[in-house]
Amino acid sequence: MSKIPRFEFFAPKSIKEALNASAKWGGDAKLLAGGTDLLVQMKQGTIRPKRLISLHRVRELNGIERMDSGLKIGAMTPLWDVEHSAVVREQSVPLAMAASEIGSPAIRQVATIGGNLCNASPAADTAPSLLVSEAELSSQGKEGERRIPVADFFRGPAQTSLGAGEILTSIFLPPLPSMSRSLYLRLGRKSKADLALVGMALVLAVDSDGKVKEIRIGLGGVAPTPIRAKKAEELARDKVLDSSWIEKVAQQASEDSQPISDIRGSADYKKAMVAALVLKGLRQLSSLEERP
Amino acid sequence: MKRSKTYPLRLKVNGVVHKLRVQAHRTLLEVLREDLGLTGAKEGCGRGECGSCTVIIGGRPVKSCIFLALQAEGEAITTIEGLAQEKTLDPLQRAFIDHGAIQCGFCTPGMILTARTLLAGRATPREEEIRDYLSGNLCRCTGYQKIVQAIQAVAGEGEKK
Repeated sequence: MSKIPRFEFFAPKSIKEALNASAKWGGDAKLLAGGTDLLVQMKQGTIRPKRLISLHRVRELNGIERMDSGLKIGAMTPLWDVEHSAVVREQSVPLAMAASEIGSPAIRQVATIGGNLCNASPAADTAPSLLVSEAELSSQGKEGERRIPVADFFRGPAQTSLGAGEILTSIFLPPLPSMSRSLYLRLGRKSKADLALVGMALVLAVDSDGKVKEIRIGLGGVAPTPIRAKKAEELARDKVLDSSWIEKVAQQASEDSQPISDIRGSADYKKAMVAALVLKGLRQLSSLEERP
Repeated sequence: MKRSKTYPLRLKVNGVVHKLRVQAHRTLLEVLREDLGLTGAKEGCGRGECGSCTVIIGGRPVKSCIFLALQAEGEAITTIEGLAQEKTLDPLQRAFIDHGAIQCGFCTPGMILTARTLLAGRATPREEEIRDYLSGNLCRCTGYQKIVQAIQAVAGEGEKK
């Protein structure tokens, strides 16, 4: 494994200091969160920043807070803390499940939720859960604070809508729909340290007649960005999900995806796995459905 | 010849404070091994997947090969060399020896330190919890069984066979 190429380093103590540094250096500088993705890529030579701005001393970016409007998670919060947080497990099951699937416990105790999002792998495990939570991301930059709906955050592989000098500061998670059940399922190769092949987050709420009141399907690893399977969601709304409808919805979700063939699998395989995960998820969530 | 910029770095390693100057690109693993002579942490994969580089920072296992030395500024770090108290081995070190959990020994420091953080947080983990927690530590020799047994023994669950 090669050495990390040389760069200059700065560790700001506050968001303000970080913003000043970022504004001064612009595209020459990359932000360092946990480093579990960035430093690997620097060793591989795929990213070669001249400067790194390390956020590890900016304490206000780390923490999980319960608010009236839901949850606020600081961008530098380690994934381990997200996974084990009682309020995340209570209010956002898919996010807690997704966080627990990443890397290994040691990696998760250093890797951050903000890093996972800003690295913007199309397979980022936390993304489908944030999509189905309809989360909002908060960033700070020269023009002040900006709120970005998570659906608008990802622009392509490794591309986010953050502008030059902008720093992701928090993730705001509204509560999931009342009476809903939710989960995150991941299909990967044998080692969890590898990227997800397909990640699927699901939220399902059913009314007293058994009809689908709300359904949200988030998919990772099967498009240039994490996506919602909108046509599948439309198909499922107001239906009573018997096994034939579950299969139709899973099939539509598969058609909503646009995976590429790569070293992890062929496009056809990935499409089939989207259907398999949605099928599995819907069966799990609907069979245990409690009628209100 | 132009020399690369160096940065001050204050590290407390196994209770001893070191004041160093390091280049930004140097990983914590490199600094521990090359500058401080603490060669217990190893470079296996170099990408944070095999766990042989694991050290403990603030009670958390850290893959030091993908952690800049400068990210550890001001922190207290425990390496395998710091586990034993004077001549007394840590219970995990004792158990690994007693249970035959060491063959070539390359993964051992990382295994023991990772297990130490597990047991600090959870006194009696189930076998599957031990295996899952150690999923970031790879062993090519033992097949893991005796490693798990050694950890269980320390956790007080006794040997399962």
